[in-house]
Amino acid sequence: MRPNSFSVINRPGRIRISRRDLLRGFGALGVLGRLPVAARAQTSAWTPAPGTRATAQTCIFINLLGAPSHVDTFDYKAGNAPARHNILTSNGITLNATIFPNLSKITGNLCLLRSMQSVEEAHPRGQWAVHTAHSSNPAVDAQTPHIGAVVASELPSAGKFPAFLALNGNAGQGAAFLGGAYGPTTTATSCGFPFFQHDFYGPSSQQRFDQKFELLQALDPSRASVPDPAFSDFEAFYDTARGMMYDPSIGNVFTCADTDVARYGNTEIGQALLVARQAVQARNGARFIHVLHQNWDTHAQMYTRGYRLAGTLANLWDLALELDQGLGALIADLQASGDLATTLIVVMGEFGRTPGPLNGQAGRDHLKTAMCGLMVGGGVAGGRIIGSTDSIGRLTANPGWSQNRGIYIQDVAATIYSALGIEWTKSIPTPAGGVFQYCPTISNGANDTPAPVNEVFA
Amino acid sequence: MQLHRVSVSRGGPAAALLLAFATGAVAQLAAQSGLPLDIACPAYPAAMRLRDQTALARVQRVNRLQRRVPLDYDGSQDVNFIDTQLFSRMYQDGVPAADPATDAEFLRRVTLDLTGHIPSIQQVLDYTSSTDATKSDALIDRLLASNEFVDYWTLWFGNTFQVTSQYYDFIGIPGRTLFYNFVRNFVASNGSYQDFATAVITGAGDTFQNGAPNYVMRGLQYSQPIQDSYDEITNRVTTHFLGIQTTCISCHDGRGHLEPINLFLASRKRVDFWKQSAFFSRTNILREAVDAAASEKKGIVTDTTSGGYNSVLADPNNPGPRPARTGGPYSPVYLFGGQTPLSGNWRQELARLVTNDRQFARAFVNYLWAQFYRIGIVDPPSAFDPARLDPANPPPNVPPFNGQIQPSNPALLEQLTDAFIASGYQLRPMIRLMVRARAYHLSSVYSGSSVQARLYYSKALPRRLSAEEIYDAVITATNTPAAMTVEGIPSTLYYAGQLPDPSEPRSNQLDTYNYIRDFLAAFGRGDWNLIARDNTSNPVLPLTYMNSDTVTPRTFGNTLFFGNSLVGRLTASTLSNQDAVTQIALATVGRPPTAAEMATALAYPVPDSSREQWLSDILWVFLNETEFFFSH
Repeated sequence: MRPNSFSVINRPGRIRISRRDLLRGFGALGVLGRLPVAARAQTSAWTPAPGTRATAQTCIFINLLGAPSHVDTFDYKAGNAPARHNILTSNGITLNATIFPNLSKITGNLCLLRSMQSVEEAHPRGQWAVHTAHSSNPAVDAQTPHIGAVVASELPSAGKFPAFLALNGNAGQGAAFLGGAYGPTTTATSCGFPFFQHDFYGPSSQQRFDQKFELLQALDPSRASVPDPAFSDFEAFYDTARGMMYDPSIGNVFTCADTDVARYGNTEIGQALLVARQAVQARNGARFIHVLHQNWDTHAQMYTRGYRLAGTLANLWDLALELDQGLGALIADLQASGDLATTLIVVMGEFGRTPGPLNGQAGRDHLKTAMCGLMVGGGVAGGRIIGSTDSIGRLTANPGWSQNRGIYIQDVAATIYSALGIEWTKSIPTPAGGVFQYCPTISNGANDTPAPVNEVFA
Repeated sequence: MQLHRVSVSRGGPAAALLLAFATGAVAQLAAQSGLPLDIACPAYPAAMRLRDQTALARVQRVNRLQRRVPLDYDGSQDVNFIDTQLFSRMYQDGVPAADPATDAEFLRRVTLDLTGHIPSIQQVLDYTSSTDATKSDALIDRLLASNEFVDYWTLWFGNTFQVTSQYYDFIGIPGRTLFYNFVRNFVASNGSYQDFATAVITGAGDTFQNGAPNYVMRGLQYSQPIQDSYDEITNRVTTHFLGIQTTCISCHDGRGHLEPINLFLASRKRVDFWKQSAFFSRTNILREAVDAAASEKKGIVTDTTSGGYNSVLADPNNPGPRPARTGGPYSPVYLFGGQTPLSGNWRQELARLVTNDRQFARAFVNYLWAQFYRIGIVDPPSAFDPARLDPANPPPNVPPFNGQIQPSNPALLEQLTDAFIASGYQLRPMIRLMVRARAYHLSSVYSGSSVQARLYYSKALPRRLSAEEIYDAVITATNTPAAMTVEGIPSTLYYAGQLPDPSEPRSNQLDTYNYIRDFLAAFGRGDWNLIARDNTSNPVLPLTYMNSDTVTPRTFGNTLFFGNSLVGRLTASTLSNQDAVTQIALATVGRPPTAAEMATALAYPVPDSSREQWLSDILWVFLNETEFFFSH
C-alpha cells in the first residue's frame, strides 16, 4: 500500500476505527485528517514518548491575558511596590505578600521562570503565541492548532470529558486541521454550568431524553449518509455531548460548594480554578485545562485598588489578589488529594512590562525583552528560580538553563509536552501541504531550536 | 456499479483521499477506458487495487494534460459570467459538477443566505409546487426587497465594523445605536458603497448625535499614544475597504519578514505605513462627559488643516506597544499607489483615494463571494496581496509562491469587480448576480471529493448557521417568538438577527434575557471586541441546545410563554399523524420528510398516551437533525 501521510497522527494500535466510523467520516478523515470522537474512546494502553519526562497527566494553563508586570509579580524588583507593602522572602523566593498573601507562604511549591522573553509586543500576536507556541503568520495561522488541541490529539481519552477544556472564555484558537474533536470545550460559566441535564419531564426526563435521542439517530438522514465532512464533525459533538449528560461524575465537576467558592474566591478566576481542580480530581479525561484571567494590561493606576476600566477590574493589586486566592487554594487542594504530583500548573501572560519607575499614568507598558512565568506540580521542583534579569528587569542577565538564552513560549510548550510524555520534536503534515512543528524554531533573530526547560523538574 | 463503498481499512486516510478523488472525479473516464470499477470491494486483491488506482490516476492525468472540454459543456446553461468562468474550468479539468439542488434545498439556502431566516411552511409549499419557470428569480427579488434582508445585511456589515457599546467606554449605547442605524439606512436605501465608505472614513462631529464618526472611535486605542490609534484605524480601513491587513508593517519593515506571506507588503517599509497612517493625523478626538458624574463620555471628532504624523510621543513614559517611531512629521502618501493629498482635509483625501481604488471594489466583491460561495476567490478575504493579482505579471518562480498568482480565478474576480463598479457600487445587484448563477444552485450532495469542491466551487459547500440564525430558526420553526426590548431601539424585537450589537439583549428587570445571551454565546456569537465570532462547534453547543430552556420548551403545545406554538396548533388540528410529520419537516428542515423519516417517525411510540407529547418529540428530533444547523 501507499505510505500513509497521516500515519504520524493515526498511529496504529492507538486508535481503532470501526467500519461505521469510516463510512460516516471517511471524507473528513481523508481530507482533513480528522477523527470522529467515537473513534477516540477505544484506545489501547498509552506509553509516553521516549526521552520525555512524562511526569504529568494533566496541564492547567492559567493565561494572564494582557501581560502581567513581571517586575511586580514573579520577578519582583525592590522598591516597585508601594511603601507599605509587605515583601517576604522564603526558600530564596521574594514575593510581594500584600498582593500574593497565599503564594508567598508556599514558595516551597513554586518554580519561577525569570529568564523568559517574548518575540511579541502586541496583545493579539502575543496571545496567539501563548495559545499555539507559534508566531502568528497569516499564511498558516489557519493550519496552526492550539497547544491544548495538540495535547488532546496526542493523549488517549481517559474518560467522558473532552480532553481540552477552556474555562472563563474562549481559548483563542481551536484544533485547526487536527479536527474539531480535539478543540476546546468552552463553557461560559465555570461553577454551575447548567446544561448537562434537564428535567422538562420530571422524574422520567432522562428516559424520555434517551428515547428522543435514539429516534434522532434512527431518523436523521444525514446520520445515515453524510453529505459533507462538516456534518460528520457536527454529529461527533452530539455524541460527545450525549455521553456527558445525566452523569453525576460530569455534572459534579461544575457544581461548586459554597465553602469551596469562599476559599477560591467568588470571582471568575476563583470559580474557574475550582472547576479545574474538580476536573483534575474527577480523572475523567480532561488533559489540558485552559483558564483565562483577563485584564492584566495594566497601563494605568496599577496599584490603585478598585481601579476599573469600562466597569471591569483593571489594576494589578486586585487581579493579583484574585489569582493568589484561587491558585493558592488550587495548589493546596491538589496537594492534599495527591494530584499535584501529576498536575502541571503553568501561569504566564504574553510578554512583560516596562520596568523602572511607573509611566505617567501610574502603570507599565509593553516589553518583550523580559517576562516571567510560574510552574507548579507535575514533576516540577518547588522553591526554585530559573534565570534572572538585570537590576531593574529590562533584560535577561542569566538564562539559568541548558540553552543559555532566554526562555520562549516554544520552550514552555516543549516543557509541557515533555511533562505530559508527548514527543515535542514532532512535525506532522498539514492538509494544505505544509508542515506543523509542535515546537517551531524561535524567530528571535538567532533562529533557536526550542527545548524543554528540564531545569524546572525535580 | 458501486462507487461510494470505499473501504480504507488498510489504506488509511491518504488512500481514502486518493480513492475518493479517483472514484468521483474520473468515473466516467474510467468507464470509457474499460477499467474495472469494483475496487471498493473488500475482496478485491490488494495488488490489483493498487494497479487500478495507478491506472485511474494516469487516466486522470492524461485528461488534465489534454485539457479537453467534454462534449456536454457548451455554455448554454450559463446564467451569467460566473457560470462561464466556473463551469468551463471544471469541465476543462475533468471535475464533475454536483447535480442541481432540489427546489426545497435551494429555497432554504437562498433564504438563509439572504435574510438569515429559514422559510416558512407556506413558503416551502408555494415554492416547491410552483411550475413558473422564473420562480427562482422572483424568489430572489422578493428576498432582496424584504425587511429581513435589511436586518441581516446590517448585521453582516456590523460583524465587519464591530462598533459595539462594549468597546471600552469609547462608543456607549448612543454611539452604538446611531452607527447601527447608519448602516441600516445604507442597506435599506440601496446606497452606493463608495458613499458609505466615504462617510465612515470621514465621519465627524458628536458621536452621540451622528452614527458615522463612531467608526473612528472603534479604532481608538486605550491608554496608548495617539499614533497607535492612527495606526489601528489605518489597519481597519485597509482591511475593511481594501481587503489588506497592513498591521504587520506598522511595527517593522516588510523585508525579511513578509516574503512568505505577502509580497506587496514585503516590499513596503514601516515609514510607508506611517505615511499612510498620516491621513488620520489631522483628526482630533475629544472626549466629553455627558453628565456631571462623568459616567458616560461622548466623542467629538474634528479635522484640522495643519500638522502631520509625528514620531514624537506626547508622554515619553507611555511609549505604547509599538517600537519607537523615528523622523517626521510625515505627510500622507497612499500606500497602494503613491498618491498625495490634493487638499488639506486629509481624511477626505483618503476616502477619495480608497473608494476610487479598483481594489476597493475587488475587495468588496470578494467578501461578498465568500458569503455565498463560502471560500473567497482570494481567501481569507482580508489577506489580498496586490503583488500577486495579475496573471500577466506573476510573482517570481521561487518558494513559497512559485510563480503562482493569488486569486483562484482571476478573470472571475475582475469581472465581478467590473460589474460592481458598473452597478454604481450597489449591494443588491451584486447579490442578485451571485445567487442567480447556476453555480449557486448546485446541490451540496456530491460524488467528487471535498478538495475538488473547495477548489472548483463544484458543489454547494455547507455553512454552519451563525448563533443568531440558529436561535431565529428555532423560533420560526416552532412559532414561538419572544419579545425583546433594547435600549435605543424603538420597536420590539423578536429575532436575534435584529440585535444592534452582541451585548444585547441586556438584562431586563427579571433578567429573562440571560438565557438568550448564554445561548448565543454558546453558539459562538463573540463580542465584536475580544472574542471572535466562531461558527465551528464543540460539545457545549449540543449540550446547550438539548438542555437549555431555549429549545425544548418551544417544542411543547400551548404553554404559558409560547401560546401559539407549532405543536399547539398541530395538536388542536384534525391532521393525520402523517400530515403532522410532514408539517414538522417542512417547518424545520424545509422539505417534506423522506420515506424513511416518515416510517421511523410513525413507528415512534406515543409517550404517556399524549399526542401532543408525541408531536413534541418528533419536532424535537427534526430540530436536532444535522441539516437544521446548516445552510446547505
